[in-house]
Amino acid sequence: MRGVRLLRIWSFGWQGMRRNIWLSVNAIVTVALTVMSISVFVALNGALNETRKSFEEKLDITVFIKETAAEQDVVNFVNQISERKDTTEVLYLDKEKSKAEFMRLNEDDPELLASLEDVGNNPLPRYVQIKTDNPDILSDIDTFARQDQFLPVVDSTSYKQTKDKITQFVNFTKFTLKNSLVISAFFATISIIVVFNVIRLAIFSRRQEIQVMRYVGASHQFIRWPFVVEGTFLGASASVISLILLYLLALWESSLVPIYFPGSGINPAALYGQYFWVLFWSNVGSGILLTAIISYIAVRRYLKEQ
Amino acid sequence: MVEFRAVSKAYGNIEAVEDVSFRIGKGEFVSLVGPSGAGKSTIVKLLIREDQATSGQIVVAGRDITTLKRSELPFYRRKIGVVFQDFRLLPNKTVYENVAFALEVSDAAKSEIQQRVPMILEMVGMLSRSDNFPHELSGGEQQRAAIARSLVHDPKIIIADEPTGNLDPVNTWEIIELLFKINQQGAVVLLATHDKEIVDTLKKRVITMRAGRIVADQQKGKYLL
Repeated sequence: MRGVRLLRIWSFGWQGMRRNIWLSVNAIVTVALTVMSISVFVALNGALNETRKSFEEKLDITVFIKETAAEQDVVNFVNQISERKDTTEVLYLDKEKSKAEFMRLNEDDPELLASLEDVGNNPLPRYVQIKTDNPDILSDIDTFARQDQFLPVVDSTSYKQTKDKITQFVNFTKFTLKNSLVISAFFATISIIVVFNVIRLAIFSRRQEIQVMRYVGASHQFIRWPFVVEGTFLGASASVISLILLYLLALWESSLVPIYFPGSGINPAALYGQYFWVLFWSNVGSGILLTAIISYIAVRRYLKEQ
Repeated sequence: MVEFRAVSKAYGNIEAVEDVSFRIGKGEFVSLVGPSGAGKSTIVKLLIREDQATSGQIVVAGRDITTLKRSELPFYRRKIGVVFQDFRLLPNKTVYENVAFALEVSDAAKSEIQQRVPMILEMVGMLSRSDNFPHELSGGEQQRAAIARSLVHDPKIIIADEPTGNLDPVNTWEIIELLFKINQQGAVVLLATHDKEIVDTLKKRVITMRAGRIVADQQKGKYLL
């Protein structure tokens, strides 16, 4: 008997969604856009985090070596820098390597390369490239390199030129990440309110149906559960639509990233693929749960009548 | 079968029904008449427990329904049949599904539904309209479908609240004849109406109400007001 009842509840829920098609479409579109907006926010947050990581991985400070510095002193300096635990990579480029690197980086600019050849002697300085994964360490490394003992070796560092931009970016990402919880809660609250009102209005427009069901002797459970089942169908449909929209958005963004963030290495479409199951379960799970709970609550009001 | 014992119902300061007592025996056809505001609809609402009496007892088939718990109401309502002026069919279900729904809520088996629903639809002359939705039917057809729904679980009491209020004369008489037929098969019919012609033609028991009180109760009565 319980099986028959469950089957009936299930089929009434499905029937309710199909036969109230405009109400259902309205609810599905609203829930889909709401779930998608949350996903976009989470994705943006993730992308920002990835950008920060990618940026931090590329954080480096270049120490330019004086022309007059003895090679042994330079090697000594490189060794001391390498011993620091806060550096991830220390690369010394002598004049030849420095020139080769310069040519590699500017291979698309033949005029510049030609002018380098015109100069004759290699005018490029020796330098040490020091990488770290913590932006806060950069100033320490700069201070370390500028110690008196390295005065005969160190000419200048790149830290001063990039310091403001690095600080600005680091502060921005820190601020955003710290506030993402508050912003997430804000978004989630708005979403719940929007979805709640859409479902409530859909059920409000069918309140007479609920009244008729009561007159023919339907129990509260028999009235309520088809609406909850209908809610889960709406939520599932909306979630799948939001996933499709999200994929299209990721594809579109993938074509824009190389233009606006060249060399960032971020590929939204690839990230979508990488995190598909996380997105799937979070979208479908939250969509179904949200609409089912809201339907349950929204019907309750009409069941309180005699 | 149905007994009102000193029943009163007040909505705020307004006494809709005041100290009403009457008794309806098995197999009776009773017309409850009176002008608008007389208290007919309140009696119907109390009888289907849409409203709760302020005082008094309403006994149906030996049970005081004023003491029913909320959880007991569905079981009570499955034992009575109700027909409304505005039909109150489920708009997104076909005629067949509307009638079947009354059985489905009581966990009736599929085989029972498949056997009873066509039989009842045949009885009210709606079998050919089984697959139509309410908005595809005329008023008279909708009311027939509503009557079929009220009958399908074989209730011993049918309560009809102005069932012909929205119908033309031809459909009105067809519905009354249908109620009459149901009564002849043994069910109690309580017909709330203010249609003088119907009441006078039926020549059945008439309870007349005015301002929330019973002013006359006649066997083979007429519309007095």
